[in-house]
Amino acid sequence: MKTIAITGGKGGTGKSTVASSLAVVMSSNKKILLADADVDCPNDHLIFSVKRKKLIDVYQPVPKWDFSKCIHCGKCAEVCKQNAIVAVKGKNPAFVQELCIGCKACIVACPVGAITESRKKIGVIYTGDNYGVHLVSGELKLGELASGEMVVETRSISLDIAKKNEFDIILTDSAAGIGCPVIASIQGSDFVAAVTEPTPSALHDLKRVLYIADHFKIPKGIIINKSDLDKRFARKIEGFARKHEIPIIGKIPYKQDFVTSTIKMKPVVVFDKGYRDNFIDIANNILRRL
Amino acid sequence: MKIVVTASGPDADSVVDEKFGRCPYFILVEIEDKKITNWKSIENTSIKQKTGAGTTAAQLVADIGVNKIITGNIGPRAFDVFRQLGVDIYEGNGTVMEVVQEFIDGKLHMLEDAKCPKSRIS
Repeated sequence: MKTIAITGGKGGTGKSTVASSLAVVMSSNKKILLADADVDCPNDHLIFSVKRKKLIDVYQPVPKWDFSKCIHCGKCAEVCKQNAIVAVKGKNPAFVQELCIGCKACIVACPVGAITESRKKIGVIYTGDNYGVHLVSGELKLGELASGEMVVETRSISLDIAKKNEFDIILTDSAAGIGCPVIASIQGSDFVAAVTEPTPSALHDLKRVLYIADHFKIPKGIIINKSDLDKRFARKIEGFARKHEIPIIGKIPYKQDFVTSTIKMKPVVVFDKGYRDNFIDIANNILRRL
Repeated sequence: MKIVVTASGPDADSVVDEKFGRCPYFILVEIEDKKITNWKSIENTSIKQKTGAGTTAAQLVADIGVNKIITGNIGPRAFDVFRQLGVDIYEGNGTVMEVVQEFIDGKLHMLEDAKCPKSRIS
Protein backbone atom coordinates (compact mmCIF):
# COMPACT_ATOMS: atom_id res chain seq x y z
CA MET A 1 0.00 0.00 0.00
CA LYS A 2 1.37 3.39 -1.03
CA THR A 3 0.43 6.97 -0.18
CA ILE A 4 0.50 9.81 -2.70
CA ALA A 5 0.14 13.42 -1.54
CA ILE A 6 -1.50 15.87 -3.95
CA THR A 7 -0.39 19.38 -3.06
CA GLY A 8 0.95 22.47 -4.80
CA GLY A 9 1.23 25.59 -2.62
CA LYS A 10 -0.96 28.12 -4.40
CA GLY A 11 -4.72 27.80 -4.09
CA GLY A 12 -6.84 27.24 -7.19
CA THR A 13 -4.18 25.43 -9.23
CA GLY A 14 -6.43 22.35 -9.39
CA LYS A 15 -5.32 20.06 -6.56
CA SER A 16 -8.80 18.65 -5.92
CA THR A 17 -9.62 18.51 -9.64
CA VAL A 18 -6.48 16.46 -10.27
CA ALA A 19 -6.82 14.33 -7.11
CA SER A 20 -10.44 13.39 -7.86
CA SER A 21 -9.80 12.43 -11.49
CA LEU A 22 -6.59 10.57 -10.64
CA ALA A 23 -8.54 8.62 -8.00
CA VAL A 24 -11.20 7.67 -10.56
CA VAL A 25 -8.78 6.51 -13.30
CA MET A 26 -6.59 4.63 -10.81
CA SER A 27 -9.65 2.83 -9.42
CA SER A 28 -10.17 0.97 -12.72
CA ASN A 29 -7.60 -1.65 -11.65
CA LYS A 30 -6.71 -0.71 -8.05
CA LYS A 31 -8.48 -0.14 -4.72
CA ILE A 32 -8.24 3.61 -4.14
CA LEU A 33 -8.91 5.64 -1.00
CA LEU A 34 -9.08 9.42 -1.42
CA ALA A 35 -8.34 11.25 1.85
CA ASP A 36 -9.59 14.84 1.77
CA ALA A 37 -7.04 16.47 4.08
CA ASP A 38 -8.13 20.04 3.35
CA VAL A 39 -9.76 20.00 6.77
CA ASP A 40 -10.52 23.73 6.87
CA CYS A 41 -12.53 23.62 3.63
CA PRO A 42 -13.01 20.04 2.43
CA ASN A 43 -14.63 19.85 -1.03
CA ASP A 44 -13.88 16.44 -2.53
CA HIS A 45 -17.31 15.08 -1.48
CA LEU A 46 -18.85 17.83 -3.62
CA ILE A 47 -16.74 16.92 -6.65
CA PHE A 48 -17.79 13.29 -6.08
CA SER A 49 -21.49 14.11 -5.46
CA VAL A 50 -21.22 12.21 -2.18
CA LYS A 51 -23.49 12.76 0.79
CA ARG A 52 -20.95 12.06 3.52
CA LYS A 53 -21.77 9.88 6.52
CA LYS A 54 -20.19 10.68 9.87
CA LEU A 55 -17.60 8.09 10.91
CA ILE A 56 -16.15 9.53 14.15
CA ASP A 57 -15.72 12.71 16.19
CA VAL A 58 -12.14 13.86 16.73
CA TYR A 59 -11.12 15.11 20.17
CA GLN A 60 -8.20 16.95 21.71
CA PRO A 61 -7.16 16.91 25.39
CA VAL A 62 -8.12 19.91 27.55
CA PRO A 63 -7.57 20.48 31.28
CA LYS A 64 -10.28 20.12 33.92
CA TRP A 65 -9.93 21.66 37.38
CA ASP A 66 -10.94 20.22 40.71
CA PHE A 67 -11.50 23.55 42.45
CA SER A 68 -11.68 21.89 45.88
CA LYS A 69 -7.96 21.09 45.49
CA CYS A 70 -6.91 24.37 43.78
CA ILE A 71 -4.69 26.60 45.94
CA HIS A 72 -4.94 29.58 43.54
CA CYS A 73 -1.17 29.66 42.93
CA GLY A 74 -1.51 30.63 39.26
CA LYS A 75 1.16 28.17 38.04
CA CYS A 76 -1.22 26.78 35.39
CA ALA A 77 -1.74 30.24 33.85
CA GLU A 78 1.98 30.96 34.04
CA VAL A 79 2.95 27.96 31.89
CA CYS A 80 0.10 28.33 29.36
CA LYS A 81 1.71 29.61 26.15
CA GLN A 82 -1.72 30.00 24.55
CA ASN A 83 -2.97 32.42 27.24
CA ALA A 84 -5.95 30.09 27.59
CA ILE A 85 -5.88 30.33 31.41
CA VAL A 86 -6.45 33.51 33.44
CA ALA A 87 -5.56 33.20 37.12
CA VAL A 88 -6.38 35.91 39.65
CA LYS A 89 -5.36 35.92 43.32
CA GLY A 90 -7.98 34.33 45.54
CA LYS A 91 -10.17 33.15 42.67
CA ASN A 92 -10.49 29.91 40.73
CA PRO A 93 -8.68 30.13 37.37
CA ALA A 94 -10.76 30.99 34.29
CA PHE A 95 -10.24 28.75 31.25
CA VAL A 96 -10.88 29.68 27.60
CA GLN A 97 -11.35 26.33 25.91
CA GLU A 98 -11.16 27.61 22.29
CA LEU A 99 -7.56 28.76 22.81
CA CYS A 100 -6.32 25.47 24.31
CA ILE A 101 -4.15 23.33 22.02
CA GLY A 102 -3.99 20.39 24.44
CA CYS A 103 -0.31 20.63 25.40
CA LYS A 104 -1.05 19.56 29.04
CA ALA A 105 1.67 21.83 30.49
CA CYS A 106 -0.84 23.06 33.11
CA ILE A 107 -1.45 19.49 34.30
CA VAL A 108 2.29 19.01 34.81
CA ALA A 109 2.76 22.42 36.45
CA CYS A 110 -0.04 22.10 39.01
CA PRO A 111 1.68 21.43 42.39
CA VAL A 112 -1.40 19.91 44.04
CA GLY A 113 -2.73 17.70 41.23
CA ALA A 114 -5.93 19.71 40.87
CA ILE A 115 -5.94 19.44 37.06
CA THR A 116 -6.89 16.29 35.19
CA GLU A 117 -7.34 15.55 31.50
CA SER A 118 -10.68 16.06 29.82
CA ARG A 119 -11.37 16.47 26.08
CA LYS A 120 -13.02 18.76 23.55
CA LYS A 121 -14.32 18.02 20.07
CA ILE A 122 -12.21 19.60 17.31
CA GLY A 123 -13.76 18.03 14.22
CA VAL A 124 -15.52 15.19 12.43
CA ILE A 125 -14.31 12.54 10.00
CA TYR A 126 -16.82 11.52 7.33
CA THR A 127 -16.79 8.77 4.70
CA GLY A 128 -18.55 8.13 1.41
CA ASP A 129 -18.27 6.18 -1.85
CA ASN A 130 -18.70 6.99 -5.52
CA TYR A 131 -17.18 6.13 -8.93
CA GLY A 132 -15.31 3.19 -7.32
CA VAL A 133 -13.41 5.46 -4.91
CA HIS A 134 -13.68 5.35 -1.11
CA LEU A 135 -13.63 8.91 0.26
CA VAL A 136 -12.48 9.85 3.78
CA SER A 137 -13.10 13.50 4.56
CA GLY A 138 -11.85 15.38 7.62
CA GLU A 139 -13.56 18.59 8.70
CA LEU A 140 -12.30 20.92 11.44
CA LYS A 141 -14.85 22.45 13.81
CA LEU A 142 -15.22 26.18 13.17
CA GLY A 143 -13.04 28.28 15.45
CA GLU A 144 -10.69 25.44 16.35
CA LEU A 145 -6.96 25.88 15.76
CA ALA A 146 -5.69 22.33 15.33
CA SER A 147 -5.93 21.83 11.56
CA GLY A 148 -2.59 19.95 11.53
CA GLU A 149 -3.81 17.51 14.18
CA MET A 150 -7.06 17.08 12.25
CA VAL A 151 -5.06 16.18 9.11
CA VAL A 152 -2.99 13.65 11.06
CA GLU A 153 -6.19 12.05 12.39
CA THR A 154 -7.81 12.00 8.92
CA ARG A 155 -4.73 10.27 7.49
CA SER A 156 -4.46 7.84 10.38
CA ILE A 157 -8.13 6.79 10.04
CA SER A 158 -7.62 6.49 6.25
CA LEU A 159 -4.61 4.24 6.84
CA ASP A 160 -6.60 2.01 9.23
CA ILE A 161 -9.42 1.65 6.68
CA ALA A 162 -6.96 1.05 3.83
CA LYS A 163 -5.08 -1.66 5.74
CA LYS A 164 -8.21 -3.40 6.96
CA ASN A 165 -9.78 -3.47 3.50
CA GLU A 166 -6.60 -4.11 1.49
CA PHE A 167 -6.54 -0.88 -0.47
CA ASP A 168 -3.66 -0.34 -2.90
CA ILE A 169 -3.31 3.45 -2.86
CA ILE A 170 -4.19 6.36 -0.56
CA LEU A 171 -4.38 9.70 -2.38
CA THR A 172 -4.11 12.56 0.12
CA ASP A 173 -5.64 15.79 -1.19
CA SER A 174 -3.90 18.55 0.78
CA ALA A 175 -4.96 22.12 1.51
CA ALA A 176 -3.39 25.10 -0.25
CA GLY A 177 -0.40 26.77 1.36
CA ILE A 178 2.66 25.26 3.00
CA GLY A 179 1.69 25.53 6.68
CA CYS A 180 1.12 22.96 9.40
CA PRO A 181 -1.85 21.15 7.73
CA VAL A 182 0.06 20.84 4.43
CA ILE A 183 3.20 19.56 6.16
CA ALA A 184 0.98 17.06 7.99
CA SER A 185 -0.51 15.99 4.63
CA ILE A 186 2.90 15.45 3.01
CA GLN A 187 5.07 13.84 5.71
CA GLY A 188 5.36 10.08 5.49
CA SER A 189 3.99 9.91 1.93
CA ASP A 190 5.63 7.78 -0.76
CA PHE A 191 5.25 10.43 -3.46
CA VAL A 192 4.42 14.13 -3.67
CA ALA A 193 2.55 15.32 -6.77
CA ALA A 194 2.66 19.13 -6.85
CA VAL A 195 -0.09 20.65 -8.99
CA THR A 196 0.83 24.05 -10.37
CA GLU A 197 -0.22 26.47 -13.12
CA PRO A 198 1.78 28.78 -15.39
CA THR A 199 1.69 31.92 -13.24
CA PRO A 200 4.46 33.64 -11.24
CA SER A 201 2.61 33.21 -7.93
CA ALA A 202 2.08 29.50 -8.57
CA LEU A 203 5.79 28.97 -9.33
CA HIS A 204 6.80 30.91 -6.22
CA ASP A 205 4.53 28.76 -4.02
CA LEU A 206 5.50 25.56 -5.86
CA LYS A 207 9.15 26.09 -4.89
CA ARG A 208 8.14 26.42 -1.24
CA VAL A 209 6.06 23.24 -1.22
CA LEU A 210 8.77 21.27 -3.06
CA TYR A 211 11.22 22.38 -0.38
CA ILE A 212 9.01 20.58 2.15
CA ALA A 213 9.00 17.39 0.03
CA ASP A 214 12.80 17.65 -0.11
CA HIS A 215 12.98 18.09 3.65
CA PHE A 216 11.16 14.78 4.14
CA LYS A 217 13.21 13.17 1.32
CA ILE A 218 10.05 12.21 -0.57
CA PRO A 219 10.21 11.63 -4.36
CA LYS A 220 8.26 14.32 -6.15
CA GLY A 221 6.86 15.38 -9.49
CA ILE A 222 5.18 18.44 -10.98
CA ILE A 223 1.82 18.54 -12.75
CA ILE A 224 1.33 21.72 -14.81
CA ASN A 225 -2.40 22.32 -14.89
CA LYS A 226 -3.92 24.85 -17.37
CA SER A 227 -0.56 24.45 -19.13
CA ASP A 228 -1.63 26.24 -22.32
CA LEU A 229 -2.87 29.41 -20.61
CA ASP A 230 0.64 30.88 -20.80
CA LYS A 231 2.89 28.59 -22.80
CA ARG A 232 5.95 30.75 -22.24
CA PHE A 233 5.57 30.64 -18.47
CA ALA A 234 4.83 26.90 -18.62
CA ARG A 235 8.23 26.51 -20.33
CA LYS A 236 9.77 28.53 -17.50
CA ILE A 237 8.36 26.02 -15.00
CA GLU A 238 9.72 23.17 -17.14
CA GLY A 239 13.12 24.91 -17.12
CA PHE A 240 12.98 25.16 -13.34
CA ALA A 241 12.05 21.46 -13.14
CA ARG A 242 14.92 20.45 -15.43
CA LYS A 243 17.44 22.52 -13.46
CA HIS A 244 16.41 20.78 -10.22
CA GLU A 245 15.91 17.36 -11.84
CA ILE A 246 12.25 17.20 -10.86
CA PRO A 247 10.12 15.24 -13.35
CA ILE A 248 7.13 16.90 -15.02
CA ILE A 249 4.68 14.04 -14.54
CA GLY A 250 1.79 15.67 -16.36
CA LYS A 251 0.54 18.62 -18.34
CA ILE A 252 -3.17 19.37 -18.49
CA PRO A 253 -4.43 21.92 -21.03
CA TYR A 254 -7.18 24.29 -19.94
CA LYS A 255 -10.73 23.41 -21.02
CA GLN A 256 -14.08 24.95 -20.00
CA ASP A 257 -15.20 21.37 -19.13
CA PHE A 258 -13.03 21.49 -15.99
CA VAL A 259 -15.15 24.34 -14.64
CA THR A 260 -18.43 22.84 -15.87
CA SER A 261 -17.66 19.44 -14.31
CA THR A 262 -17.05 21.12 -10.95
CA ILE A 263 -20.40 22.89 -11.23
CA LYS A 264 -22.05 19.57 -12.19
CA MET A 265 -20.28 17.96 -9.17
CA LYS A 266 -18.43 15.30 -11.13
CA PRO A 267 -14.72 14.49 -11.56
CA VAL A 268 -13.77 15.76 -15.03
CA VAL A 269 -12.91 12.22 -16.25
CA VAL A 270 -16.45 11.14 -15.32
CA PHE A 271 -17.99 14.25 -16.91
CA ASP A 272 -16.18 13.60 -20.22
CA LYS A 273 -14.33 10.31 -20.80
CA GLY A 274 -12.18 12.13 -23.39
CA TYR A 275 -9.96 13.38 -20.55
CA ARG A 276 -9.22 9.87 -19.26
CA ASP A 277 -6.06 9.30 -21.35
CA ASN A 278 -4.40 12.45 -20.01
CA PHE A 279 -5.06 11.36 -16.40
CA ILE A 280 -4.11 7.70 -17.07
CA ASP A 281 -0.72 8.97 -18.30
CA ILE A 282 -0.26 11.03 -15.12
CA ALA A 283 -1.36 8.07 -12.94
CA ASN A 284 1.12 5.76 -14.67
CA ASN A 285 3.88 8.37 -14.32
CA ILE A 286 3.27 8.40 -10.58
CA LEU A 287 2.71 4.64 -10.13
CA ARG A 288 5.96 3.67 -11.80
CA ARG A 289 7.86 6.00 -9.46
CA LEU A 290 6.48 4.37 -6.29
CA MET B 1 -15.53 49.91 43.72
CA LYS B 2 -13.08 49.59 40.84
CA ILE B 3 -14.34 50.12 37.29
CA VAL B 4 -12.26 49.66 34.16
CA VAL B 5 -13.33 51.51 31.01
CA THR B 6 -11.84 50.68 27.59
CA ALA B 7 -10.55 53.97 26.12
CA SER B 8 -9.19 55.22 22.82
CA GLY B 9 -6.74 57.52 24.66
CA PRO B 10 -5.11 58.02 28.09
CA ASP B 11 -7.33 60.92 29.24
CA ALA B 12 -10.57 60.98 31.19
CA ASP B 13 -12.35 62.63 28.26
CA SER B 14 -11.21 59.94 25.80
CA VAL B 15 -13.93 58.11 23.94
CA VAL B 16 -14.90 54.60 25.07
CA ASP B 17 -13.20 52.10 22.78
CA GLU B 18 -15.20 49.59 20.75
CA LYS B 19 -12.67 46.86 21.50
CA PHE B 20 -11.63 45.21 24.76
CA GLY B 21 -8.56 43.03 24.02
CA ARG B 22 -7.04 45.52 21.60
CA CYS B 23 -8.14 48.88 23.01
CA PRO B 24 -5.13 51.21 23.46
CA TYR B 25 -5.85 52.22 27.08
CA PHE B 26 -7.80 51.12 30.13
CA ILE B 27 -9.01 53.87 32.45
CA LEU B 28 -9.30 52.63 36.04
CA VAL B 29 -11.90 54.63 37.94
CA GLU B 30 -12.52 54.24 41.67
CA ILE B 31 -15.93 55.02 43.07
CA GLU B 32 -17.07 55.52 46.67
CA ASP B 33 -20.59 56.52 47.70
CA LYS B 34 -21.56 57.16 44.10
CA LYS B 35 -18.67 59.60 43.64
CA ILE B 36 -15.52 59.31 41.57
CA THR B 37 -12.62 59.40 44.02
CA ASN B 38 -9.68 58.61 41.77
CA TRP B 39 -8.75 57.63 38.23
CA LYS B 40 -5.68 56.64 36.27
CA SER B 41 -4.89 55.31 32.80
CA ILE B 42 -3.20 51.99 32.13
CA GLU B 43 -1.62 51.23 28.76
CA ASN B 44 -2.93 48.00 27.24
CA THR B 45 0.31 46.18 26.51
CA SER B 46 -1.48 43.14 25.09
CA ILE B 47 -2.02 45.07 21.81
CA LYS B 48 1.55 44.11 20.88
CA GLN B 49 0.63 40.43 20.94
CA LYS B 50 -0.01 38.67 17.64
CA THR B 51 -2.74 36.48 19.08
CA GLY B 52 -4.62 36.00 22.33
CA ALA B 53 -4.83 39.73 23.17
CA GLY B 54 -8.34 39.22 24.60
CA THR B 55 -7.31 36.83 27.36
CA THR B 56 -4.04 38.65 28.14
CA ALA B 57 -5.93 41.93 28.47
CA ALA B 58 -8.45 40.11 30.66
CA GLN B 59 -5.57 38.91 32.87
CA LEU B 60 -4.21 42.48 33.08
CA VAL B 61 -7.61 43.90 34.06
CA ALA B 62 -8.49 41.02 36.42
CA ASP B 63 -5.18 41.47 38.29
CA ILE B 64 -6.27 45.03 39.22
CA GLY B 65 -9.11 43.47 41.20
CA VAL B 66 -11.74 45.11 39.03
CA ASN B 67 -15.44 44.85 39.94
CA LYS B 68 -17.11 46.16 36.76
CA ILE B 69 -16.06 46.78 33.15
CA ILE B 70 -17.48 49.31 30.71
CA THR B 71 -16.69 48.86 27.01
CA GLY B 72 -18.15 49.41 23.54
CA ASN B 73 -17.86 45.72 22.79
CA ILE B 74 -15.94 42.66 23.96
CA GLY B 75 -14.85 39.44 22.29
CA PRO B 76 -16.24 36.04 23.29
CA ARG B 77 -13.01 34.81 24.91
CA ALA B 78 -12.48 37.79 27.23
CA PHE B 79 -16.21 37.74 28.00
CA ASP B 80 -15.92 34.07 28.95
CA VAL B 81 -13.04 34.87 31.35
CA PHE B 82 -14.99 37.61 33.16
CA ARG B 83 -18.10 35.44 33.33
CA GLN B 84 -16.03 32.77 35.10
CA LEU B 85 -14.43 35.36 37.40
CA GLY B 86 -17.79 36.94 38.19
CA VAL B 87 -17.01 40.40 36.79
CA ASP B 88 -19.99 42.21 35.17
CA ILE B 89 -19.58 43.94 31.82
CA TYR B 90 -21.58 47.02 30.78
CA GLU B 91 -22.03 48.52 27.36
CA GLY B 92 -21.02 52.18 27.16
CA ASN B 93 -20.99 54.82 24.45
CA GLY B 94 -19.45 58.31 24.93
CA THR B 95 -16.47 59.66 26.87
CA VAL B 96 -15.01 57.75 29.81
CA MET B 97 -16.34 60.13 32.49
CA GLU B 98 -19.77 60.31 30.81
CA VAL B 99 -20.23 56.53 30.85
CA VAL B 100 -18.94 56.22 34.42
CA GLN B 101 -21.55 58.82 35.48
CA GLU B 102 -24.19 56.87 33.55
CA PHE B 103 -23.10 53.73 35.41
CA ILE B 104 -23.40 55.52 38.78
CA ASP B 105 -26.88 56.67 37.76
CA GLY B 106 -27.80 53.07 36.88
CA LYS B 107 -28.39 53.91 33.21
CA LEU B 108 -26.00 51.41 31.62
CA HIS B 109 -27.06 48.12 30.12
CA MET B 110 -25.30 44.97 31.31
CA LEU B 111 -24.08 42.63 28.54
CA GLU B 112 -25.50 39.11 28.77
CA ASP B 113 -23.22 37.81 26.04
CA ALA B 114 -20.31 38.88 23.84
CA LYS B 115 -21.85 41.09 21.18
CA CYS B 116 -20.38 39.19 18.22
CA PRO B 117 -23.01 38.68 15.54
CA LYS B 118 -24.57 35.22 15.48
CA SER B 119 -24.23 33.67 12.05
CA ARG B 120 -27.22 31.95 10.50
CA ILE B 121 -25.06 30.27 7.86
CA SER B 122 -25.23 26.50 7.97
